[in-house]
Amino acid sequence: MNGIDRRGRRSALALLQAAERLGPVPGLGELRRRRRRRSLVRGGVAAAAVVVAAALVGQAMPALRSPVTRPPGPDISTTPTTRAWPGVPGLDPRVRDAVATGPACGCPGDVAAGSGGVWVLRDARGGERDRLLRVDPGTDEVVAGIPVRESASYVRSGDDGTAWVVRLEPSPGDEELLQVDPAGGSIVRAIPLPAIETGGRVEAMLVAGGAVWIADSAGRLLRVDTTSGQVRTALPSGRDRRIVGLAAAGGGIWVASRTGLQRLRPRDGRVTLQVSDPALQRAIPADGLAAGAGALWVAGGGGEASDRLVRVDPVSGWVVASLELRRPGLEGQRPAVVAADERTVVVRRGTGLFLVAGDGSRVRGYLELPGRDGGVAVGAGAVWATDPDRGRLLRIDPGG
Amino acid sequence: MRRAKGRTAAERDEPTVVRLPERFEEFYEREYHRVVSFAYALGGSWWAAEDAAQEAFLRAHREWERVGRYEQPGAWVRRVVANLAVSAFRRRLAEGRALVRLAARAGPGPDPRLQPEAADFWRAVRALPVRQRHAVALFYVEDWPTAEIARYLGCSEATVRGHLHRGRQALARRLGGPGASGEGSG
Repeated sequence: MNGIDRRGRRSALALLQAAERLGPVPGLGELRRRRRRRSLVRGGVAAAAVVVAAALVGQAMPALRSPVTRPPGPDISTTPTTRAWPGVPGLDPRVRDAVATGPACGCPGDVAAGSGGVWVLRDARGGERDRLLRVDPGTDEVVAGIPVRESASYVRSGDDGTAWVVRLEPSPGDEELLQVDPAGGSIVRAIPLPAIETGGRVEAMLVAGGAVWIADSAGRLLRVDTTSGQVRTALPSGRDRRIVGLAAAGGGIWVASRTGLQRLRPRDGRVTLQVSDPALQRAIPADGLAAGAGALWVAGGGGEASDRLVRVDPVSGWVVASLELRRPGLEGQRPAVVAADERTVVVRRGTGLFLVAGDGSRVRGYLELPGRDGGVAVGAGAVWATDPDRGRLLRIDPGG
Repeated sequence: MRRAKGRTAAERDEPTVVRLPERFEEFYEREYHRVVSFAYALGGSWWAAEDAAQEAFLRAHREWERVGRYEQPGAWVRRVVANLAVSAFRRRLAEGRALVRLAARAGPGPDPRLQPEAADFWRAVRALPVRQRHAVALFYVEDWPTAEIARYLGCSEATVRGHLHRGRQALARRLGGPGASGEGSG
Protein backbone atom coordinates (compact mmCIF):
# COMPACT_ATOMS: atom_id res chain seq x y z
CA MET A 1 0.00 0.00 0.00
CA ASN A 2 1.56 3.26 -1.07
CA GLY A 3 1.33 6.70 0.51
CA ILE A 4 -1.84 7.74 -1.30
CA ASP A 5 -3.54 4.49 -0.30
CA ARG A 6 -2.61 5.02 3.34
CA ARG A 7 -3.84 8.59 3.22
CA GLY A 8 -7.03 7.46 1.47
CA ARG A 9 -7.76 4.92 4.20
CA ARG A 10 -7.08 7.46 6.94
CA SER A 11 -9.24 10.06 5.21
CA ALA A 12 -12.07 7.56 4.72
CA LEU A 13 -11.97 6.68 8.41
CA ALA A 14 -11.99 10.37 9.33
CA LEU A 15 -14.93 10.90 6.98
CA LEU A 16 -16.92 8.09 8.52
CA GLN A 17 -16.18 9.36 12.03
CA ALA A 18 -17.28 12.86 11.01
CA ALA A 19 -20.51 11.43 9.58
CA GLU A 20 -21.14 9.58 12.85
CA ARG A 21 -20.57 12.81 14.78
CA LEU A 22 -23.47 14.38 12.82
CA GLY A 23 -25.72 12.41 15.15
CA PRO A 24 -27.31 9.01 15.59
CA VAL A 25 -29.12 7.37 12.71
CA PRO A 26 -32.47 9.19 12.52
CA GLY A 27 -35.63 7.11 12.78
CA LEU A 28 -37.81 6.64 9.71
CA GLY A 29 -40.43 8.94 11.17
CA GLU A 30 -37.82 11.65 11.53
CA LEU A 31 -36.75 11.13 7.89
CA ARG A 32 -40.33 11.64 6.76
CA ARG A 33 -40.65 14.81 8.84
CA ARG A 34 -37.41 16.15 7.36
CA ARG A 35 -38.63 15.33 3.85
CA ARG A 36 -41.85 17.28 4.54
CA ARG A 37 -39.75 20.21 5.74
CA ARG A 38 -37.65 20.04 2.58
CA SER A 39 -40.86 20.01 0.51
CA LEU A 40 -42.08 23.07 2.40
CA VAL A 41 -38.80 24.85 1.67
CA ARG A 42 -39.10 23.89 -1.98
CA GLY A 43 -42.72 25.10 -1.99
CA GLY A 44 -41.60 28.38 -0.43
CA VAL A 45 -38.90 28.81 -3.06
CA ALA A 46 -41.41 28.02 -5.82
CA ALA A 47 -43.94 30.48 -4.38
CA ALA A 48 -41.27 33.17 -4.18
CA ALA A 49 -40.32 32.42 -7.79
CA VAL A 50 -43.97 32.79 -8.85
CA VAL A 51 -44.23 36.13 -7.06
CA VAL A 52 -41.02 37.38 -8.69
CA ALA A 53 -42.13 36.09 -12.11
CA ALA A 54 -45.53 37.76 -11.73
CA ALA A 55 -43.82 41.04 -10.85
CA LEU A 56 -41.53 40.75 -13.90
CA VAL A 57 -44.47 39.95 -16.19
CA GLY A 58 -46.31 42.94 -14.78
CA GLN A 59 -43.36 45.14 -15.64
CA ALA A 60 -43.06 43.66 -19.10
CA MET A 61 -46.72 44.01 -20.07
CA PRO A 62 -46.48 47.56 -21.44
CA ALA A 63 -43.66 46.42 -23.73
CA LEU A 64 -45.70 43.49 -24.97
CA ARG A 65 -48.62 45.76 -25.75
CA SER A 66 -46.52 48.21 -27.71
CA PRO A 67 -47.12 48.44 -31.47
CA VAL A 68 -45.86 45.36 -33.22
CA THR A 69 -44.60 44.61 -36.68
CA ARG A 70 -47.00 42.24 -38.38
CA PRO A 71 -45.74 40.15 -41.26
CA PRO A 72 -47.65 40.53 -44.52
CA GLY A 73 -49.96 37.91 -45.93
CA PRO A 74 -53.68 37.21 -45.59
CA ASP A 75 -53.13 34.15 -43.42
CA ILE A 76 -51.62 36.26 -40.64
CA SER A 77 -54.52 38.71 -40.49
CA THR A 78 -56.92 35.93 -39.51
CA THR A 79 -54.88 35.03 -36.47
CA PRO A 80 -57.01 33.18 -33.94
CA THR A 81 -56.51 33.81 -30.26
CA THR A 82 -56.85 31.67 -27.18
CA ARG A 83 -60.44 32.88 -26.94
CA ALA A 84 -61.39 31.48 -30.32
CA TRP A 85 -59.33 28.44 -31.10
CA PRO A 86 -60.71 26.44 -33.94
CA GLY A 87 -58.91 23.27 -32.87
CA VAL A 88 -57.78 20.74 -35.41
CA PRO A 89 -60.67 18.61 -36.68
CA GLY A 90 -60.18 14.97 -35.97
CA LEU A 91 -57.24 15.52 -33.68
CA ASP A 92 -56.75 15.17 -29.98
CA PRO A 93 -58.40 18.09 -28.13
CA ARG A 94 -55.05 18.87 -26.51
CA VAL A 95 -53.80 20.07 -29.91
CA ARG A 96 -54.80 23.66 -30.60
CA ASP A 97 -54.36 25.55 -33.84
CA ALA A 98 -52.56 28.38 -32.11
CA VAL A 99 -51.71 30.72 -34.93
CA ALA A 100 -51.23 31.00 -38.66
CA THR A 101 -47.57 31.37 -39.49
CA GLY A 102 -47.55 30.74 -43.19
CA PRO A 103 -45.45 27.89 -44.51
CA ALA A 104 -42.60 26.99 -42.19
CA CYS A 105 -39.39 25.46 -43.48
CA GLY A 106 -40.43 22.07 -42.18
CA CYS A 107 -37.06 21.35 -40.64
CA PRO A 108 -36.39 20.21 -37.07
CA GLY A 109 -35.12 23.66 -36.11
CA ASP A 110 -38.01 25.75 -37.39
CA VAL A 111 -39.46 26.52 -33.96
CA ALA A 112 -37.92 27.58 -30.63
CA ALA A 113 -39.48 28.58 -27.33
CA GLY A 114 -37.99 30.51 -24.46
CA SER A 115 -38.22 33.58 -22.33
CA GLY A 116 -38.38 35.83 -25.41
CA GLY A 117 -41.49 34.07 -26.68
CA VAL A 118 -41.96 31.46 -29.38
CA TRP A 119 -40.02 31.84 -32.62
CA VAL A 120 -41.00 30.30 -35.94
CA LEU A 121 -39.15 30.42 -39.24
CA ARG A 122 -41.53 31.29 -42.05
CA ASP A 123 -40.40 30.04 -45.41
CA ALA A 124 -40.19 32.45 -48.34
CA ARG A 125 -42.90 32.21 -50.98
CA GLY A 126 -43.30 34.15 -54.20
CA GLY A 127 -40.20 36.31 -53.94
CA GLU A 128 -40.79 37.23 -50.31
CA ARG A 129 -37.99 37.06 -47.82
CA ASP A 130 -37.94 34.45 -45.11
CA ARG A 131 -39.24 35.84 -41.87
CA LEU A 132 -38.64 35.07 -38.28
CA LEU A 133 -41.98 35.29 -36.50
CA ARG A 134 -42.24 35.98 -32.82
CA VAL A 135 -45.39 34.58 -31.19
CA ASP A 136 -46.59 35.83 -27.84
CA PRO A 137 -47.44 32.68 -25.85
CA GLY A 138 -49.89 34.67 -23.71
CA THR A 139 -52.20 35.51 -26.58
CA ASP A 140 -50.95 33.27 -29.38
CA GLU A 141 -50.61 36.28 -31.62
CA VAL A 142 -47.75 36.94 -33.99
CA VAL A 143 -46.21 40.08 -32.50
CA ALA A 144 -43.26 40.50 -34.84
CA GLY A 145 -42.14 39.39 -38.29
CA ILE A 146 -38.49 40.06 -38.95
CA PRO A 147 -37.13 39.67 -42.51
CA VAL A 148 -34.11 37.39 -42.48
CA ARG A 149 -33.50 37.15 -46.22
CA GLU A 150 -33.64 33.68 -47.72
CA SER A 151 -32.57 30.17 -46.69
CA ALA A 152 -33.04 30.61 -42.95
CA SER A 153 -32.76 27.08 -41.69
CA TYR A 154 -32.50 26.96 -37.91
CA VAL A 155 -33.62 29.10 -34.97
CA ARG A 156 -32.78 28.80 -31.30
CA SER A 157 -33.25 31.20 -28.40
CA GLY A 158 -30.97 31.96 -25.49
CA ASP A 159 -31.76 32.45 -21.80
CA ASP A 160 -31.83 36.22 -22.31
CA GLY A 161 -34.60 35.90 -24.90
CA THR A 162 -32.32 36.64 -27.86
CA ALA A 163 -33.02 34.57 -30.96
CA TRP A 164 -30.26 33.23 -33.22
CA VAL A 165 -30.87 32.18 -36.80
CA VAL A 166 -28.56 30.36 -39.19
CA ARG A 167 -28.90 31.26 -42.86
CA LEU A 168 -27.45 28.99 -45.49
CA GLU A 169 -26.75 30.06 -49.05
CA PRO A 170 -27.25 27.84 -52.09
CA SER A 171 -23.55 28.34 -52.82
CA PRO A 172 -21.11 27.94 -49.93
CA GLY A 173 -19.39 30.99 -48.53
CA ASP A 174 -22.15 33.37 -47.51
CA GLU A 175 -23.55 31.54 -44.52
CA GLU A 176 -24.43 33.74 -41.57
CA LEU A 177 -25.50 33.58 -37.99
CA LEU A 178 -28.03 36.32 -37.22
CA GLN A 179 -28.68 37.69 -33.76
CA VAL A 180 -32.21 38.99 -33.26
CA ASP A 181 -33.14 41.31 -30.43
CA PRO A 182 -36.62 40.36 -29.15
CA ALA A 183 -37.38 43.83 -27.77
CA GLY A 184 -36.54 45.75 -30.92
CA GLY A 185 -37.61 42.96 -33.25
CA SER A 186 -34.63 43.51 -35.52
CA ILE A 187 -31.38 41.86 -36.55
CA VAL A 188 -28.65 43.39 -34.43
CA ARG A 189 -25.68 41.40 -35.73
CA ALA A 190 -24.75 39.14 -38.64
CA ILE A 191 -21.74 36.90 -38.05
CA PRO A 192 -20.19 35.24 -41.13
CA LEU A 193 -19.78 31.49 -40.76
CA PRO A 194 -17.23 29.20 -42.40
CA ALA A 195 -18.56 27.66 -45.60
CA ILE A 196 -20.92 24.75 -45.21
CA GLU A 197 -20.68 22.21 -48.01
CA THR A 198 -22.93 22.56 -51.03
CA GLY A 199 -26.25 20.93 -50.29
CA GLY A 200 -25.28 20.69 -46.64
CA ARG A 201 -27.52 21.64 -43.77
CA VAL A 202 -27.53 22.51 -40.10
CA GLU A 203 -28.18 19.36 -38.09
CA ALA A 204 -28.40 20.89 -34.62
CA MET A 205 -28.00 24.21 -32.86
CA LEU A 206 -27.77 25.31 -29.25
CA VAL A 207 -27.33 28.58 -27.34
CA ALA A 208 -25.48 27.88 -24.10
CA GLY A 209 -22.29 28.57 -22.19
CA GLY A 210 -21.77 31.99 -23.72
CA ALA A 211 -21.77 30.61 -27.24
CA VAL A 212 -23.92 29.45 -30.10
CA TRP A 213 -23.08 25.89 -31.13
CA ILE A 214 -23.83 24.85 -34.69
CA ALA A 215 -23.46 21.31 -36.00
CA ASP A 216 -23.48 20.84 -39.76
CA SER A 217 -24.08 17.82 -41.95
CA ALA A 218 -20.34 17.25 -42.39
CA GLY A 219 -20.07 16.38 -38.69
CA ARG A 220 -18.40 19.67 -37.87
CA LEU A 221 -19.28 21.60 -34.70
CA LEU A 222 -18.78 25.35 -34.66
CA ARG A 223 -18.58 27.46 -31.52
CA VAL A 224 -19.56 31.11 -31.96
CA ASP A 225 -18.82 33.35 -28.99
CA THR A 226 -21.97 35.39 -28.31
CA THR A 227 -20.00 38.39 -27.06
CA SER A 228 -17.04 38.65 -29.42
CA GLY A 229 -18.60 36.88 -32.39
CA GLN A 230 -15.42 34.82 -32.76
CA VAL A 231 -16.04 31.56 -34.63
CA ARG A 232 -14.03 28.45 -33.75
CA THR A 233 -14.26 24.86 -34.84
CA ALA A 234 -14.94 22.79 -31.73
CA LEU A 235 -15.09 19.48 -33.58
CA PRO A 236 -13.68 19.13 -37.10
CA SER A 237 -15.59 17.57 -39.95
CA GLY A 238 -15.91 13.83 -39.70
CA ARG A 239 -17.80 11.74 -42.21
CA ASP A 240 -18.30 8.98 -39.67
CA ARG A 241 -19.77 11.35 -37.10
CA ARG A 242 -23.23 12.60 -37.92
CA ILE A 243 -24.29 14.94 -35.14
CA VAL A 244 -28.00 14.67 -34.37
CA GLY A 245 -28.43 16.81 -31.27
CA LEU A 246 -26.88 19.33 -28.90
CA ALA A 247 -27.84 20.10 -25.32
CA ALA A 248 -26.49 21.88 -22.25
CA ALA A 249 -26.66 20.14 -18.87
CA GLY A 250 -24.54 19.53 -15.79
CA GLY A 251 -22.16 22.32 -16.71
CA GLY A 252 -21.23 20.78 -20.07
CA ILE A 253 -22.23 20.87 -23.70
CA TRP A 254 -23.46 17.47 -24.87
CA VAL A 255 -23.16 16.26 -28.43
CA ALA A 256 -25.18 13.29 -29.64
CA SER A 257 -24.06 11.64 -32.83
CA ARG A 258 -25.68 8.65 -34.50
CA THR A 259 -23.28 6.39 -32.63
CA GLY A 260 -22.72 7.95 -29.22
CA LEU A 261 -22.79 10.78 -26.75
CA GLN A 262 -19.97 13.01 -25.55
CA ARG A 263 -19.56 16.03 -23.30
CA LEU A 264 -17.59 19.15 -24.20
CA ARG A 265 -16.18 21.89 -22.03
CA PRO A 266 -18.20 25.05 -22.79
CA ARG A 267 -15.31 27.49 -22.81
CA ASP A 268 -13.23 25.79 -25.47
CA GLY A 269 -15.20 22.81 -26.77
CA ARG A 270 -12.70 20.26 -25.50
CA VAL A 271 -14.17 16.75 -25.15
CA THR A 272 -14.26 15.84 -21.45
CA LEU A 273 -16.38 12.70 -21.42
CA GLN A 274 -17.36 9.98 -23.84
CA VAL A 275 -20.38 8.10 -22.51
CA SER A 276 -19.56 4.43 -22.37
CA ASP A 277 -22.61 3.12 -20.52
CA PRO A 278 -23.71 0.04 -22.50
CA ALA A 279 -27.35 0.91 -21.76
CA LEU A 280 -27.00 3.86 -24.14
CA GLN A 281 -26.95 1.35 -27.00
CA ARG A 282 -30.71 1.05 -26.60
CA ALA A 283 -31.03 4.49 -28.17
CA ILE A 284 -28.40 3.93 -30.87
CA PRO A 285 -28.54 4.94 -33.66
CA ALA A 286 -29.57 8.18 -32.00
CA ASP A 287 -31.99 10.58 -33.63
CA GLY A 288 -32.16 13.47 -31.18
CA LEU A 289 -31.02 14.93 -27.88
CA ALA A 290 -32.49 17.38 -25.39
CA ALA A 291 -31.86 18.54 -21.83
CA GLY A 292 -34.56 19.09 -19.24
CA ALA A 293 -35.85 18.01 -15.84
CA GLY A 294 -32.28 17.63 -14.60
CA ALA A 295 -31.37 15.05 -17.21
CA LEU A 296 -30.32 14.42 -20.77
CA TRP A 297 -32.73 12.65 -23.09
CA VAL A 298 -31.57 10.67 -26.10
CA ALA A 299 -34.16 9.39 -28.54
CA GLY A 300 -33.40 6.78 -31.12
CA GLY A 301 -32.68 3.13 -31.54
CA GLY A 302 -35.82 2.64 -33.55
CA GLY A 303 -36.26 2.62 -37.26
CA GLU A 304 -39.24 0.34 -37.05
CA ALA A 305 -42.39 0.71 -34.99
CA SER A 306 -40.69 1.78 -31.79
CA ASP A 307 -38.07 4.15 -30.49
CA ARG A 308 -36.25 4.32 -27.22
CA LEU A 309 -35.97 7.35 -25.02
CA VAL A 310 -33.14 7.01 -22.53
CA ARG A 311 -32.52 9.32 -19.60
CA VAL A 312 -28.86 10.08 -18.93
CA ASP A 313 -27.44 11.59 -15.79
CA PRO A 314 -25.63 14.72 -17.01
CA VAL A 315 -22.80 14.52 -14.49
CA SER A 316 -21.90 10.86 -14.45
CA GLY A 317 -23.02 10.00 -17.97
CA TRP A 318 -24.97 6.99 -16.68
CA VAL A 319 -28.17 5.87 -18.28
CA VAL A 320 -30.67 5.99 -15.41
CA ALA A 321 -33.90 5.13 -17.21
CA SER A 322 -35.12 3.83 -20.53
CA LEU A 323 -38.56 4.00 -22.05
CA GLU A 324 -39.94 2.33 -25.14
CA LEU A 325 -41.96 4.55 -27.46
CA ARG A 326 -44.04 2.06 -29.37
CA ARG A 327 -46.74 2.99 -31.81
CA PRO A 328 -47.93 1.23 -34.96
CA GLY A 329 -47.51 3.31 -38.06
CA LEU A 330 -44.21 4.91 -37.15
CA GLU A 331 -42.37 2.79 -39.70
CA GLY A 332 -40.67 4.86 -42.35
CA GLN A 333 -41.46 8.17 -40.70
CA ARG A 334 -38.99 10.96 -40.06
CA PRO A 335 -36.26 10.52 -37.43
CA ALA A 336 -37.31 11.54 -33.96
CA VAL A 337 -36.98 15.14 -32.80
CA VAL A 338 -36.80 15.59 -29.04
CA ALA A 339 -37.31 18.64 -26.80
CA ALA A 340 -37.69 19.09 -23.06
CA ASP A 341 -38.23 21.52 -20.22
CA GLU A 342 -38.34 21.02 -16.46
CA ARG A 343 -41.59 19.02 -16.51
CA THR A 344 -42.09 17.55 -19.92
CA VAL A 345 -40.12 15.68 -22.52
CA VAL A 346 -41.55 15.40 -26.03
CA VAL A 347 -40.53 13.20 -28.90
CA ARG A 348 -41.91 13.97 -32.34
CA ARG A 349 -41.56 11.32 -34.98
CA GLY A 350 -43.38 12.19 -38.15
CA THR A 351 -47.05 12.54 -37.30
CA GLY A 352 -46.62 11.04 -33.83
CA LEU A 353 -45.94 13.07 -30.71
CA PHE A 354 -45.09 11.39 -27.40
CA LEU A 355 -45.48 13.37 -24.17
CA VAL A 356 -43.25 11.86 -21.49
CA ALA A 357 -43.27 12.65 -17.76
CA GLY A 358 -40.28 14.67 -16.58
CA ASP A 359 -38.99 11.81 -14.44
CA GLY A 360 -38.96 9.52 -17.47
CA SER A 361 -41.21 7.01 -15.73
CA ARG A 362 -44.02 6.86 -18.30
CA VAL A 363 -45.47 8.14 -21.52
CA ARG A 364 -48.07 10.65 -20.39
CA GLY A 365 -49.78 10.89 -23.72
CA TYR A 366 -49.59 10.27 -27.44
CA LEU A 367 -50.99 12.57 -30.09
CA GLU A 368 -51.32 12.49 -33.84
CA LEU A 369 -50.24 15.64 -35.64
CA PRO A 370 -51.57 16.71 -39.04
CA GLY A 371 -48.21 16.84 -40.82
CA ARG A 372 -45.11 14.69 -40.92
CA ASP A 373 -42.49 17.42 -41.15
CA GLY A 374 -41.46 20.15 -38.78
CA GLY A 375 -39.87 20.86 -35.46
CA VAL A 376 -41.01 20.80 -31.89
CA ALA A 377 -40.17 22.96 -28.88
CA VAL A 378 -41.10 23.03 -25.21
CA GLY A 379 -41.33 26.26 -23.29
CA ALA A 380 -43.52 29.19 -22.32
CA GLY A 381 -46.03 26.81 -20.73
CA ALA A 382 -46.74 24.63 -23.73
CA VAL A 383 -45.41 22.28 -26.35
CA TRP A 384 -45.12 23.88 -29.79
CA ALA A 385 -45.04 22.04 -33.08
CA THR A 386 -44.95 23.43 -36.58
CA ASP A 387 -47.35 22.24 -39.24
CA PRO A 388 -45.59 23.48 -42.38
CA ASP A 389 -48.10 22.16 -44.90
CA ARG A 390 -51.04 23.93 -43.32
CA GLY A 391 -48.92 26.92 -42.32
CA ARG A 392 -49.89 26.74 -38.67
CA LEU A 393 -48.16 26.66 -35.33
CA LEU A 394 -49.74 24.07 -33.06
CA ARG A 395 -49.95 24.53 -29.32
CA ILE A 396 -50.19 21.38 -27.29
CA ASP A 397 -51.20 21.13 -23.67
CA PRO A 398 -48.35 19.24 -21.96
CA GLY A 399 -50.71 17.90 -19.27
CA GLY A 400 -49.81 17.39 -15.63
CA MET B 1 -36.61 -15.40 -10.97
CA ARG B 2 -33.89 -15.76 -13.54
CA ARG B 3 -34.85 -17.48 -16.80
CA ALA B 4 -32.38 -19.61 -18.69
CA LYS B 5 -32.99 -20.76 -22.25
CA GLY B 6 -36.66 -19.85 -21.87
CA ARG B 7 -37.34 -22.16 -18.91
CA THR B 8 -37.58 -21.28 -15.26
CA ALA B 9 -35.84 -23.25 -12.52
CA ALA B 10 -39.17 -24.74 -11.51
CA GLU B 11 -39.83 -25.87 -15.07
CA ARG B 12 -36.42 -27.55 -15.12
CA ASP B 13 -37.37 -29.29 -11.88
CA GLU B 14 -34.49 -27.64 -10.02
CA PRO B 15 -34.67 -26.23 -6.51
CA THR B 16 -35.39 -22.51 -6.54
CA VAL B 17 -33.17 -20.38 -4.35
CA VAL B 18 -35.14 -17.45 -3.06
CA ARG B 19 -33.15 -14.57 -1.66
CA LEU B 20 -35.00 -13.28 1.37
CA PRO B 21 -34.56 -9.57 1.89
CA GLU B 22 -32.73 -8.34 4.94
CA ARG B 23 -34.89 -6.34 7.32
CA PHE B 24 -34.84 -2.74 6.11
CA GLU B 25 -34.16 -1.40 9.61
CA GLU B 26 -30.98 -3.47 9.92
CA PHE B 27 -29.78 -2.44 6.47
CA TYR B 28 -30.55 1.21 7.21
CA GLU B 29 -28.79 1.22 10.59
CA ARG B 30 -25.71 -0.44 9.12
CA GLU B 31 -25.42 1.67 5.96
CA TYR B 32 -26.63 5.14 6.93
CA HIS B 33 -23.38 6.77 7.99
CA ARG B 34 -21.42 5.15 5.18
CA VAL B 35 -23.90 6.45 2.61
CA VAL B 36 -23.72 9.95 4.10
CA SER B 37 -19.92 9.70 3.92
CA PHE B 38 -20.09 8.59 0.30
CA ALA B 39 -22.42 11.46 -0.58
CA TYR B 40 -20.08 13.92 1.14
CA ALA B 41 -17.09 12.48 -0.72
CA LEU B 42 -18.86 13.17 -4.02
CA GLY B 43 -20.45 16.50 -3.20
CA GLY B 44 -18.48 18.15 -0.40
CA SER B 45 -21.49 19.40 1.56
CA TRP B 46 -22.72 17.74 4.76
CA TRP B 47 -26.20 19.22 4.39
CA ALA B 48 -26.61 18.04 0.84
CA ALA B 49 -25.10 14.67 1.77
CA GLU B 50 -27.60 14.13 4.58
CA ASP B 51 -30.51 15.29 2.41
CA ALA B 52 -29.53 12.97 -0.43
CA ALA B 53 -28.88 9.99 1.85
CA GLN B 54 -32.15 10.41 3.72
CA GLU B 55 -34.16 10.74 0.53
CA ALA B 56 -32.45 7.66 -0.91
CA PHE B 57 -33.22 5.59 2.19
CA LEU B 58 -36.85 6.70 2.14
CA ARG B 59 -37.10 5.56 -1.47
CA ALA B 60 -35.40 2.29 -0.58
CA HIS B 61 -37.88 1.78 2.26
CA ARG B 62 -40.81 2.39 -0.08
CA GLU B 63 -39.39 -0.09 -2.62
CA TRP B 64 -37.88 -2.50 -0.12
CA GLU B 65 -39.94 -5.46 -1.27
CA ARG B 66 -38.07 -5.19 -4.58
CA VAL B 67 -34.80 -3.47 -3.64
CA GLY B 68 -34.22 -5.72 -0.64
CA ARG B 69 -33.99 -8.74 -2.94
CA TYR B 70 -31.26 -7.19 -5.06
CA GLU B 71 -27.81 -8.65 -4.78
CA GLN B 72 -26.47 -5.23 -3.72
CA PRO B 73 -29.22 -3.05 -2.23
CA GLY B 74 -26.42 -0.81 -0.93
CA ALA B 75 -25.31 -0.12 -4.51
CA TRP B 76 -28.89 0.81 -5.43
CA VAL B 77 -29.02 3.35 -2.59
CA ARG B 78 -25.66 4.82 -3.60
CA ARG B 79 -26.79 5.18 -7.19
CA VAL B 80 -29.89 7.04 -6.01
CA VAL B 81 -27.67 9.22 -3.83
CA ALA B 82 -25.39 9.98 -6.76
CA ASN B 83 -28.38 10.89 -8.94
CA LEU B 84 -29.86 13.08 -6.23
CA ALA B 85 -26.55 14.72 -5.56
CA VAL B 86 -26.26 15.83 -9.16
CA SER B 87 -29.83 16.98 -9.59
CA ALA B 88 -29.59 20.62 -10.57
CA PHE B 89 -32.47 21.64 -8.37
CA ARG B 90 -31.12 19.91 -5.31
CA ARG B 91 -27.71 21.36 -5.98
CA ARG B 92 -29.13 24.86 -6.19
CA LEU B 93 -31.17 24.24 -3.06
CA ALA B 94 -28.17 22.93 -1.18
CA GLU B 95 -26.05 25.83 -2.35
CA GLY B 96 -28.75 28.23 -1.21
CA ARG B 97 -28.91 26.58 2.18
CA ALA B 98 -25.15 26.53 2.43
CA LEU B 99 -25.00 30.21 1.62
CA VAL B 100 -27.60 30.98 4.28
CA ARG B 101 -25.72 28.98 6.86
CA LEU B 102 -22.38 30.40 5.86
CA ALA B 103 -23.81 33.88 6.12
CA ALA B 104 -25.01 33.06 9.61
CA ARG B 105 -21.51 32.05 10.64
CA ALA B 106 -18.55 34.29 11.19
CA GLY B 107 -17.23 33.50 7.76
CA PRO B 108 -16.28 30.65 5.47
CA GLY B 109 -13.43 28.46 6.63
CA PRO B 110 -12.21 24.89 6.64
CA ASP B 111 -14.68 22.09 7.33
CA PRO B 112 -14.69 21.90 11.14
CA ARG B 113 -15.88 18.32 11.08
CA LEU B 114 -12.88 16.99 9.18
CA GLN B 115 -9.17 16.97 9.95
CA PRO B 116 -7.27 19.13 7.45
CA GLU B 117 -5.51 16.13 5.94
CA ALA B 118 -8.82 14.37 5.23
CA ALA B 119 -10.50 17.57 4.03
CA ASP B 120 -7.68 18.16 1.54
CA PHE B 121 -7.85 14.56 0.36
CA TRP B 122 -11.60 14.63 -0.35
CA ARG B 123 -11.32 18.05 -1.98
CA ALA B 124 -8.74 16.55 -4.32
CA VAL B 125 -10.99 13.55 -4.96
CA ARG B 126 -13.85 15.87 -5.96
CA ALA B 127 -11.58 17.48 -8.54
CA LEU B 128 -11.15 14.13 -10.34
CA PRO B 129 -13.19 13.26 -13.43
CA VAL B 130 -16.57 11.79 -12.50
CA ARG B 131 -15.89 8.10 -12.98
CA GLN B 132 -12.49 8.28 -11.29
CA ARG B 133 -14.14 10.17 -8.44
CA HIS B 134 -16.79 7.48 -8.00
CA ALA B 135 -14.25 4.67 -8.24
CA VAL B 136 -11.93 6.27 -5.68
CA ALA B 137 -14.77 7.10 -3.27
CA LEU B 138 -16.16 3.58 -3.44
CA PHE B 139 -12.71 2.06 -3.05
CA TYR B 140 -11.72 4.05 0.04
CA VAL B 141 -15.02 4.93 1.73
CA GLU B 142 -16.84 1.70 1.03
CA ASP B 143 -13.81 -0.55 0.74
CA TRP B 144 -15.46 -2.24 -2.23
CA PRO B 145 -13.47 -4.67 -4.37
CA THR B 146 -12.97 -3.72 -8.00
CA ALA B 147 -15.56 -6.29 -9.13
CA GLU B 148 -18.29 -4.51 -7.17
CA ILE B 149 -17.15 -1.11 -8.37
CA ALA B 150 -17.23 -2.44 -11.93
CA ARG B 151 -20.83 -3.58 -11.50
CA TYR B 152 -21.73 -0.20 -10.03
CA LEU B 153 -20.07 1.76 -12.85
CA GLY B 154 -21.26 -0.62 -15.57
CA CYS B 155 -17.76 -1.30 -16.90
CA SER B 156 -15.07 -3.97 -16.71
CA GLU B 157 -12.77 -4.57 -13.75
CA ALA B 158 -9.81 -3.58 -15.92
CA THR B 159 -11.46 -0.22 -16.56
CA VAL B 160 -12.00 0.23 -12.83
CA ARG B 161 -8.35 -0.55 -12.17
CA GLY B 162 -7.48 2.07 -14.79
CA HIS B 163 -9.73 4.64 -13.10
CA LEU B 164 -8.15 3.87 -9.71
CA HIS B 165 -4.64 4.02 -11.11
CA ARG B 166 -5.18 7.36 -12.83
CA GLY B 167 -7.10 8.67 -9.84
CA ARG B 168 -4.25 7.81 -7.48
CA GLN B 169 -1.71 9.39 -9.79
CA ALA B 170 -3.75 12.59 -9.98
CA LEU B 171 -4.20 12.63 -6.20
CA ALA B 172 -0.48 12.12 -5.68
CA ARG B 173 0.29 15.03 -8.00
CA ARG B 174 -2.30 17.25 -6.36
CA LEU B 175 -1.46 16.35 -2.78
CA GLY B 176 2.28 16.17 -3.27
CA GLY B 177 2.58 12.57 -2.16
CA PRO B 178 4.30 9.62 -3.84
CA GLY B 179 2.87 8.31 -7.12
CA ALA B 180 0.53 5.44 -7.51
CA SER B 181 1.95 2.10 -8.29
CA GLY B 182 -0.38 -0.41 -6.71
CA GLU B 183 -3.61 -1.67 -8.20
CA GLY B 184 -6.95 -1.91 -6.48
CA SER B 185 -7.25 -5.00 -4.40
CA GLY B 186 -9.88 -7.37 -5.51
